[in-house]
Amino acid sequence: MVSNDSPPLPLDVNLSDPGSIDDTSTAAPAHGVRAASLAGPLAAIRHDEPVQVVEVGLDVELAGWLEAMGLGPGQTLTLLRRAAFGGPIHVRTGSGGELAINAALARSILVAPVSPSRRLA
Amino acid sequence: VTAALGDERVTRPEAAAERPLVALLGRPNSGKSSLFNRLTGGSAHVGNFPGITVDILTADVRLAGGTVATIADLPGLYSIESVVDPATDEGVARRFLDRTGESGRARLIVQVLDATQLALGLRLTRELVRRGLAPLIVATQRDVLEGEGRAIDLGALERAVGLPVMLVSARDPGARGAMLDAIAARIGAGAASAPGATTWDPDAVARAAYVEAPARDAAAERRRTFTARADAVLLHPAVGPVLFLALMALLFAAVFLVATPVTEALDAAIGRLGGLVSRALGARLAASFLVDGLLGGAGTVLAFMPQIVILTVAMELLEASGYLARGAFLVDRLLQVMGLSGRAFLPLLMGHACAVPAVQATRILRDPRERLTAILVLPLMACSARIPTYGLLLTTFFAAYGAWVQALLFVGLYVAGIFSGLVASLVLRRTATRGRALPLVLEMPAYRSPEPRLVARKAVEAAWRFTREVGTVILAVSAVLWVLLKVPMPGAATPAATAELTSTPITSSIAAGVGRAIEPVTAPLGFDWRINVGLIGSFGAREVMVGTMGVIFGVEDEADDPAPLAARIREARRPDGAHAYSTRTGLALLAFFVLACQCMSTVAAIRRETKTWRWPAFVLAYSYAAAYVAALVVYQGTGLLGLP
Repeated sequence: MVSNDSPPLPLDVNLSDPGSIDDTSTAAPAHGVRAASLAGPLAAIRHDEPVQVVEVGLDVELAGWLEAMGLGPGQTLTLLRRAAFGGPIHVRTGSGGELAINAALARSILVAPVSPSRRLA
Repeated sequence: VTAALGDERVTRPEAAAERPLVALLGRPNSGKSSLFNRLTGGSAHVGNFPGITVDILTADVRLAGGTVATIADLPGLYSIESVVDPATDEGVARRFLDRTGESGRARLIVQVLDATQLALGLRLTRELVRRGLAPLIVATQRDVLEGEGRAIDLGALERAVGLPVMLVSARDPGARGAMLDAIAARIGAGAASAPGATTWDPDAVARAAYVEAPARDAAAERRRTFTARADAVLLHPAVGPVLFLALMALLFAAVFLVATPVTEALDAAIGRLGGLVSRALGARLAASFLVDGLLGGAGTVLAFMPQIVILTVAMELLEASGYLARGAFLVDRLLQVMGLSGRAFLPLLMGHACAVPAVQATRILRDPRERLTAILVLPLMACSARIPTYGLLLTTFFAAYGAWVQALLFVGLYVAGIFSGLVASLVLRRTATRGRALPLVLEMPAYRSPEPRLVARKAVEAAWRFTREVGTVILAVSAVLWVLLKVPMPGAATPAATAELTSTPITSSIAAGVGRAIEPVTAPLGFDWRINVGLIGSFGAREVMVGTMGVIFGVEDEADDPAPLAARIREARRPDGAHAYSTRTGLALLAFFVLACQCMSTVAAIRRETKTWRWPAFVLAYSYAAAYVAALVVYQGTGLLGLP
């Protein structure tokens, strides 16, 4: 689940739906996710561990746009690098694209480690 | 829909709106524009579509069988289902689809997708099919795919999605004929012949469609990782920013080293032309209007041209090579301080050369509020047109303080521009452009070598658009200013005019009358009527300040050496014999020139980009108000501090 120390985006995206982030603990785990308890914000992703998007904790419109860009639930992500001083993160997606994601936004995206079985497949 | 089109021959120009429309659609970076260029051979023009205010390139092509079709290159879009702001590129593409669908005009959607990223493109395909648009699918980047040692099983892909699919490379000259044949066949057969399937998973279909070529050798592997290796250097935490700064410095140097001599040559040519006209017509008012009013205005338009072309070329090279996204990645954190995102770096940097192309370059900002913010603060950046005036003011009022003080002040003026932009941006993000911002989510495309023809075409388009849309405004303002400066004030010939140190006609002009009338307003800033006339003259273009002051103080050739003019200004007296100006006047004037948007070209460019007079009027109002207040604070504040 997204920890409380992740500051919200410098925008009002969550104001319309304040429950969206807290709901993640009860959300059904996406396929391949080991357990929701292992989930954390995308911002905290480690270099050696591919993850899968569980939920995008933003309003429906923004989440829909991100999904269209290839950043929706179920997408696998691998961290390539982080920009200096808390800048964006650079990830490769399972669909074959690469994305730069703003750090504040990455704190609102919930991911979980990809299970070993799925990684082999 | 298209049953009757197969054999329709349209040749009359007035029937252009009847021609079948072929809309190229695809994700940004999918290679759509390269394919469009290949299809049309570069003979594109801006199409006219009701309700669409953004330029959409179109070209007419003759298909097999003689049918003439209009091909349109839509802005990139990720989805036709997710909600987007109508002002963005995506919103424009969506509106285009809606409007042309309502018009009843026969049309075919051609979806261009990147063959190396099938899953992402197929997501959009499924949305198009759901909407009943049944596109023809053109997978491009065939050369890259093969370079990676991969192939696509087209038959399997066609069966899975229920649509015709072709695989091409925009670099292959044969791609044009193949695509035109496929387009003609699709128009002839009608979308109903293959409406497409809706129940399939883009990721699964993409996985199944890829065929790994047996001979996937080490060379192919190396090519595949080129982008990864380049990024390891270009995005390196230490090396990346240094290379970025070096590249930007190079871009800046190119503007000054290449554009300045070209601009000077054009200026000299205009001057010679003016001399010819003057000699032919004599010293009549009409000759002055032609030379100073119209030719002067045309000179201003031409002076911007080299910068526009160089900056457009640079931007296209950065964009097409894939480096633009890397630059945004590197500076995103920095620009967040201003309430902007990494994408804004290029327009803001260009603004330090010239705000006019920079305003145009804000199109790369996806978020409309961020874009508007960037447009509104751009006029504050220390553009190159400020340099002559800064030079004159520093020479006039600070020569006595030594070269170091002048140099420090000069650097300080650039910092002041950036700082005022920062403040304006912070204020605007909380007022005029308040609201949700799209955080940076940026595709990092693979590096590619830009296509020179495509880049050249963009540069020509930018130059032409500038002439057409901004040039006309500059000419009009130039003509109005000529009237103000050269036509005598009705009922003028005041005693004050004859008592002044010069007898040039400008002292009895309308501008001089206005300048004297507003003296009570500008006196708290330390500005007398002569400076006011200079400010009126530089309303259209700030660099005119130098020339206008030259006319007022009767100094010719002030552009070559500001020293004589500076001396005259320093020695200027009030009617009571006291010195008219002091160091405080100089500081107040500098503050005024940092902030005021004395540039009709920028105003016209903002009008063009925002499609309304509201925002250009806002820029004029807020920048002049800020300039007045800043000059007032500087003049009065330094007075309180005891500066002479």
